[in-house]
Amino acid sequence: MLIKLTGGTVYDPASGIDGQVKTLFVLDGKFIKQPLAEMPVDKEYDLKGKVVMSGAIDMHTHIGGGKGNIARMLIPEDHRKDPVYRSDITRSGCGHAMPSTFTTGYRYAEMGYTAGFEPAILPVNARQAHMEMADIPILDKGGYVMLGSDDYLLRMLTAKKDQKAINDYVAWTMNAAKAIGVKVVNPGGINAFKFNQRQLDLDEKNSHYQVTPREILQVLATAVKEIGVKHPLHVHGCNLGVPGNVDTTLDTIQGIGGLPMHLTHIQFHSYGTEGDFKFSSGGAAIAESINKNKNITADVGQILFGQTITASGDSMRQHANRSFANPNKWVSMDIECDAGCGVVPFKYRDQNFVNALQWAIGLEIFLLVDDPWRVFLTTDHPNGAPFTTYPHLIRLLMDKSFRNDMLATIHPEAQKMTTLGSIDREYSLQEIAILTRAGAAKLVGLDDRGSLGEGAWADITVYTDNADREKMFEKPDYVFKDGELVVVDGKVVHTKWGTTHIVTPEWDNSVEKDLQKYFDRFMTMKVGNFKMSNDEITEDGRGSLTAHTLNRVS
Amino acid sequence: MSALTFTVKQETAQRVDMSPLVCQLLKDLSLTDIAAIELQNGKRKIRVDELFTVSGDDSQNIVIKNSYAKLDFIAKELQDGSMTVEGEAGAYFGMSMKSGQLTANGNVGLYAACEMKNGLLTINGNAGDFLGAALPGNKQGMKGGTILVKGNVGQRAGDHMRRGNLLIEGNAGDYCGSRMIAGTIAVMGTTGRFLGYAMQRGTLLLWQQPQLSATFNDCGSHTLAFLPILFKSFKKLDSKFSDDSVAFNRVQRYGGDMAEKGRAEVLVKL
Amino acid sequence: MIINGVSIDETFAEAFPMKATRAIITAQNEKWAMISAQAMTGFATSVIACGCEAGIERVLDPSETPDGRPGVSVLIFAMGGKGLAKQLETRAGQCVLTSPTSALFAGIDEGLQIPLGKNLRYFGDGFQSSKKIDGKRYWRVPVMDGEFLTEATTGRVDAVGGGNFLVLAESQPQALAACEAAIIEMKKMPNVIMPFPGGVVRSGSKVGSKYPALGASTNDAFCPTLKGVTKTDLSPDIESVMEIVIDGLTKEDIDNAMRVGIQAVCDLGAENGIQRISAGNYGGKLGPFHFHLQEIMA
Ligand SMILES: [Zn+2]
Repeated sequence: MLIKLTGGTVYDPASGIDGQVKTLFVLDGKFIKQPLAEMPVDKEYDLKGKVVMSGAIDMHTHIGGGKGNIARMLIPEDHRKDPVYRSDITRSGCGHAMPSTFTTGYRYAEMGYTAGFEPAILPVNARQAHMEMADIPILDKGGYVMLGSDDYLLRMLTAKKDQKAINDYVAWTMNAAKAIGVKVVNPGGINAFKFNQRQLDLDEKNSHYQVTPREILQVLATAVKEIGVKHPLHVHGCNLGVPGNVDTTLDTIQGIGGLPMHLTHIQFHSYGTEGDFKFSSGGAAIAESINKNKNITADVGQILFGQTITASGDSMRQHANRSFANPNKWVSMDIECDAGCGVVPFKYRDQNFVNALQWAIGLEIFLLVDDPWRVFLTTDHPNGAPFTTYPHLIRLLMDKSFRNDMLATIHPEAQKMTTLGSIDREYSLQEIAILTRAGAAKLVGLDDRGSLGEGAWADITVYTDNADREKMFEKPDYVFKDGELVVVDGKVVHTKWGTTHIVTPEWDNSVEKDLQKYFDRFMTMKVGNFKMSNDEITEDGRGSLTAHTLNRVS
Repeated sequence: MSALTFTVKQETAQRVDMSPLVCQLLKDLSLTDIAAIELQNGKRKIRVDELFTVSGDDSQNIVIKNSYAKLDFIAKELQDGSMTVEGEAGAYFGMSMKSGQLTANGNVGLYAACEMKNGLLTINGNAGDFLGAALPGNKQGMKGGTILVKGNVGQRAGDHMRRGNLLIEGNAGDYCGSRMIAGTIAVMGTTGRFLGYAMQRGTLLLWQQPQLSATFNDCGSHTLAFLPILFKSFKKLDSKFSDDSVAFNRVQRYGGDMAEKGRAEVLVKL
Repeated sequence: MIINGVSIDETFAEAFPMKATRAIITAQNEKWAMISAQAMTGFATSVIACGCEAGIERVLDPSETPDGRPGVSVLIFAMGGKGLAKQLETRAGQCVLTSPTSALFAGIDEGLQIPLGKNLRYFGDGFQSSKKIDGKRYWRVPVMDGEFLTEATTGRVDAVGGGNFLVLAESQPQALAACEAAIIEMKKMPNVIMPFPGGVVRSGSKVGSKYPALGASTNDAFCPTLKGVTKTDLSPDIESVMEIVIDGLTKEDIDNAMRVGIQAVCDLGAENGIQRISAGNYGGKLGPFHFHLQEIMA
């Protein structure tokens, strides 16, 4: 099957193409440079005047795993307001804050997204998370396995096990959970919560294991680097949402000592304590630190106003936030010896000082971080806002006058506490393509995605240029997934199944000897059942695994 | 003007969403328009005139004849008009009703009058589970108005009820008044197990001694001044509840559910 | 104008706009409803120092009360809405909530709703509960004798305060007897109260005083002992003057009450020592309501 995409204006930062008119060829799902002369074109699309980008990649979105289902159960009223009916090609479901799996796939695709990565897969829940993501159509998916509050690692640290042993454990767990990265959430804090600590600072010791968050970050970031995983350690830091946590975040950046580290939903970690309400923006300080420290990447976790639900492994902070639950119901739970989870519905309001300033802080960070390759467009779906708000967020980034109009409507005290109005930067289409495509693919460690270059898989989005960027990005003309046309005029016309992206770092088999004993003693399942096998993802014929290359290990 | 009447021609195998056929939505429609409305029927759509013979012209007074237990969402969000069902009704009968009068002359299914806001809803037959309750996951059930049931009701009547009167001439199933926030449920017949389970506030007014959970405590016998006022308000109903001989103001008062707020009461006629 | 030998002055009573409400107190029997009502309307003769003017309107038959028990209706008047609400709440809390077997209900449904038992409920310390019946909210407050039932709010209406007339007689006993006769008839009228002790006031006042601190002082023109030393309004044969002050929900209510009151006085007539009927005013400049005695009695 040879497809010709003729004359579109191409934005492909991965290939260094910035708005050039170019004709693209796709042969059997992948881009080729030029077809052989005798090869007939099966289908040609005239894209003259259209904007062409690769399929967008959401590198941090909560689309699989137990807490998503808890969130769904907690807010049926939200689903009832957004029923999704079946059609001849799509299945029924429901939407808004935490859509059903099928709706998640359709709605992402209808915005031009072709991949999403679940950032918090608990090893013990990995099977369920992958099963759930297996029900998300069209999108490619993958996940980061959560470590750092698991009793096994903390025991190793207490026992002063060497880095090599930890590397083996991390690599073993990544394979067992079919992950492409490693995430740490409130390092050690979720565990400390179980020992009745209600907060844990960067250098505060877990009262039981006597280990500090700083030590956990050190060994995990080192492990990720040494086993060759391209995605840097994915860090949800200490003190999420606490006024004054900007200092903790700056300290975290300094403390990692140049190791690659990704700070996720950094907006929630950029708060000062100035002003009448003892809540201020640390956006500028954070952006400056990111600009200076080239080993650091961050996604923003922008909040946008409206009803949503927050679902996080950070049971410590979610427990602290329970009084803000709106509607007033929440869940906080322990999950075996791995971690915990907290789900709290939230309604962000533009007339609430804190919410309004959170909104401004997120935008400040977007606009003050200079290098678009090191900042990523997320709302931490659904925590800051549902992913369906991305086109609105893109408009806020690309359109200064629109942004300032919105700024003028938020809580007046919050307006005084932000420098947002004085920032002139407007993102270009190329920069948006970096944030949501090329940069994301590079960060996650995808070899052949996020690019329109030869050899890459043909995930393509075609837009009609429109000065109203929200309108433009919410309704692509065409979306192709692996060379198959799946969306026309913002509506799914055909569905298919994406692949699951993983990495397979190596480990020393001896690691399992001790794990076996540990599992027998403490866990609810045997170590043999804990490990996922490949065919659990592939055997139904629709799932597949794509293993990506690792950095050369020295 | 005569009542707008929908007479079922033939019962369907699958359930029907009747929510489009409600007074306020038909106000300005011609009979031809109404006949052409499509109702969801299982996974298909069915035209109104395919399912019903339509006659009459007063859209503010609707009668559904030969009704059967698969007609769901009858009178959903009814506002101001009057609707009567001859025969059985399915689930969600009178859901979120806002005002007006709604009468079923047969049995109704699950979640009848759930999250009702106001108005008078009369069921001359029996009602299923979750009468006047909240939809699953929602925090507040019936918020006002009066529900009168002449037959029996299923389990969980008044679950999460917030305000209003739920009057039952017959018997109530298990968990009657569970998780009630406030309001009044009166039951002339018997009640089942777990009466007032996790009830926060509100009143269960009973004519028969119930089987009470250990978390309801006896507060003794009393004459309560609000009861005559409450019974006076029932006078306008076509019901046993309007009969002077059923009224009382001497009660045994039980407070509970002590496993919840413990500010609710079960009042049993003495 | 002369009725039965009594001369009706060509003058008028001058009255003011007030805010008013009615409350209904019921109890196990009329005795205890009345005790509570008397307490609630006590020390409420004049807004000048009492904060409000209040009185018992009438006794209610059980068939007329919301809970079917014997009751008493009271009217409370004040110069402003805020003051009325404060007085109503304080008096309800101290005189009705406290009174054995009592219950308290709104006596006026229309108008702005002001708190009746709405805030008294907090006496229940969280054990109180409410019932909304036929659109009205009631509070049930647990108390030592059982449950205090009170309606949450009552209606506030615009009203008229300060209707009056003066009875000028040849002796003090004759003046009092005439006023008593008037009060008996006036109490039969709806929507009015006569707030002074027994409905009669003997210390009518004028505006101002020689003492700057005092805003009002004795009405020397009508003081019989000063006939020779001040600019008097009295003829030599008048030895005693008494006044009846009337607050009513409308001007017409006061008209009617004044008519039956003056008529009762006149029925006693000159033969019982009644000489004149007059009225108090401030020259007509202060109050918008004028009650012309001769028009009322025409
Ligand atoms: Zn997240």
